[in-house]
Amino acid sequence: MTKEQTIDLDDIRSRIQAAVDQLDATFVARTDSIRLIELALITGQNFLLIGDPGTAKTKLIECFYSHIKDASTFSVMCGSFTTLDELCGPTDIKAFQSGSWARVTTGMLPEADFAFLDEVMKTNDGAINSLLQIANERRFMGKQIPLWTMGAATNWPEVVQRSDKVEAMYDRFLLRAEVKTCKGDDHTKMLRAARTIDGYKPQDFFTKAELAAAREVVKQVNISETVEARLTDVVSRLDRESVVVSNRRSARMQLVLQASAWLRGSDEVALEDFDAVRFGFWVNQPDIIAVDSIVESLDQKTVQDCVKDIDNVRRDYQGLAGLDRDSRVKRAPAVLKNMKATAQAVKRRLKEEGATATGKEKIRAEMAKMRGEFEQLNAEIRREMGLDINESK
Amino acid sequence: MTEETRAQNWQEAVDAHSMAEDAVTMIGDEPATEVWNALTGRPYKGDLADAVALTMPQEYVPLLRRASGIPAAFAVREIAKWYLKLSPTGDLLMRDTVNAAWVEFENRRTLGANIQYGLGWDLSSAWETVVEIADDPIKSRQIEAIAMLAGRMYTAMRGVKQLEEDASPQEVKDITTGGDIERLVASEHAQLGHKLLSNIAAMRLLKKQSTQFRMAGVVEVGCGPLVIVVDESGSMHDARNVWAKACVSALIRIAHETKRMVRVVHFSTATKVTPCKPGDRVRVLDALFSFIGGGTDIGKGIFNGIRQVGDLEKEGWTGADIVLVTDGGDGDIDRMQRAVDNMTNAGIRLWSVAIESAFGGESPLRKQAEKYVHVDGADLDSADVVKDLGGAAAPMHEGR
Repeated sequence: MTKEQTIDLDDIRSRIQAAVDQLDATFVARTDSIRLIELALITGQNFLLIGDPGTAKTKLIECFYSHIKDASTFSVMCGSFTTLDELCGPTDIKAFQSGSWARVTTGMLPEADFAFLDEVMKTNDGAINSLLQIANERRFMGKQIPLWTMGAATNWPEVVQRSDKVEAMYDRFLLRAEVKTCKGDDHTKMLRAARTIDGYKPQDFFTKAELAAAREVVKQVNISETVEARLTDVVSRLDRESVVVSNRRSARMQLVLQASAWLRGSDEVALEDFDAVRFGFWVNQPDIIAVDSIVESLDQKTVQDCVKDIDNVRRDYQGLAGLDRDSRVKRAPAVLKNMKATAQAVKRRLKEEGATATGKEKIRAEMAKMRGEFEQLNAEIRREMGLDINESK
Repeated sequence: MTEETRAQNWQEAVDAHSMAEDAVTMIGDEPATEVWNALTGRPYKGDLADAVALTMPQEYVPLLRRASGIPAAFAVREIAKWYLKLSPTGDLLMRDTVNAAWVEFENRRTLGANIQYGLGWDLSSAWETVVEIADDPIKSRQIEAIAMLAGRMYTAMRGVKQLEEDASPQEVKDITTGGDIERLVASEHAQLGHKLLSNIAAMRLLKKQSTQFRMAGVVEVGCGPLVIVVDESGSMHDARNVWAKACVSALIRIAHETKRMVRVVHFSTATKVTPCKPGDRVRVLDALFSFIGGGTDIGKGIFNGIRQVGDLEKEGWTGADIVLVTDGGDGDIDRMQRAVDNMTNAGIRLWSVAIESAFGGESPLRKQAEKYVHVDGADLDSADVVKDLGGAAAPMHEGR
């Protein structure tokens, strides 16, 4: 990567971030949805917002799309009687007169860079077959189409009662988020925001070409073996909670993790990026809490194992208190050595398994306790025997 | 995670669960609140809450954060109980104390999982049961044994083939693609008649890609009541009772899945009836824990079963099945014959299960039964033997 390209990409990232900040300041309690759309746009994946009517799903998507410059957008309200003509254009009569069959796709989905399908789960079987290919392969009537991201919105009843065909469409939305009705303080803030939302004017812009350039860089973000193992662990734990994540979904989620890392300016995926998998691994509404809690407790075992090791050696230390002076002096060097070995083992484990900032903080607090006890015991032994454990080692 | 998708906050938990109130009584409101926060992933403070977060097994996290809050309320009470018992001082003892509570929690978690799997209940119902019987080891063991066998029986029974629903089209549902000229939308018809477009429209029709209405129809299916007449005489003890109740549970589960009304007639020399509507966990539990004891009077049980069918018919439930589960002999053959004749005349189908003592070949309970199942001693641990009974609880379709 050249220096010039790096500067451009940093600029793209800061403009995307500025757009996100503006949207966040405008839409109340929609941080998750905004993050979801941000990740979808950078990775070129499809996204779906699910929630009660009147939760500004449509408005949010429209406002986010308004930050994209020089791009063609297509939006449609789907329904049980929506025909393919309404999505992909009517039959091209002139073409037919000259002996070929085609559709007039100008201004329609096959020519759009960014699409928005409102009430997508109400789409009927007739239109859904074509939509599946468009959503998954970015192809229509055998030709590649320019579609970058297909966004959609729907309500829970349509998701709950989805048929097998609609299930296939539902699966094509890699990223999904639940949009809740604003309540309490958020409701008051929403009332204020609603008065000005129609005049939303995007301040910062980015283009499809810039998103494509960003995606190429995102693909280079490193995914370590630790991250691979964590992702596998998340999928396995979800499986135990009866939430099945398809291989396609987990494979594609890697790009989303990479995008998350890139957005925070890193060239390596870390545990904190796993927050993004919350958008991709649940299927039904009750799964959301399972996915959220598994993501939140990602490093819990690592933290607990570290603390357990520290606790064991601290127990040895505290056991010295009940011994007579001679036994205490005799046992102390072994305890001190064990403390040192434990500290090293904990550091090694942290390096190998990784932990979130909060997890590391917890371990640091326990290490500090052990270090305090180490210093106390070391001082006591030096006093008693004129021996320094560091020197004796 | 947003606030709305989390388990309840502490105030909601106290309002909803007496176990949370118990915890307050034991250790005070503030420590209980902090423990709750640690369990449900909220910010917390204090050594006890810290010990909870640092010892909570990772696999418990999704369970403890369920919106119902029941497992978390149980955990907070267990932790409070052990805290009160051991009065720990210092962080290490605090963690030992909480670990002791986790051992108790693990036992209940296993019980809950078995109930959930075996009886087909949702997590909240399973945990409500766990909480109710948590302090009764005999009931806990009994329901666990029933649930584990019932789960296998359900798996065996649910494979029974049911008739397909009549899907004859009656109603326009939505739009689809196809080549059925009678169902084409108006614009397709218009194009077929257009001098320029008719070829395109015809081509679409031949390729079955025309836009047409999707038609569908729903046929009412008769879901008559299921009456299970189960022997609870003294001889139906231990393994026989577990087997019979597991069978009752699996039948109820299948019947409830198709919204069938169930009544369980418990009999010995006396009878009692437990009506179980779909979703009525408490009544199902009553039926499973019921045990009358005493001698056996099959006739009394069967006639009561027929009476239940009659009562339900008055409420509009028709087309009943009666499943008899007993370890008694044939008894008075003439009386049995009268009972079975009554059933036949009323259009009731009988399914007989004889545990250990078989019905004779001439017994109407065997001869006139839709299916007769004989369970021998060795079968009491088996689920497959009940496979044929699945049809009794399966939904009734026209012409079945």
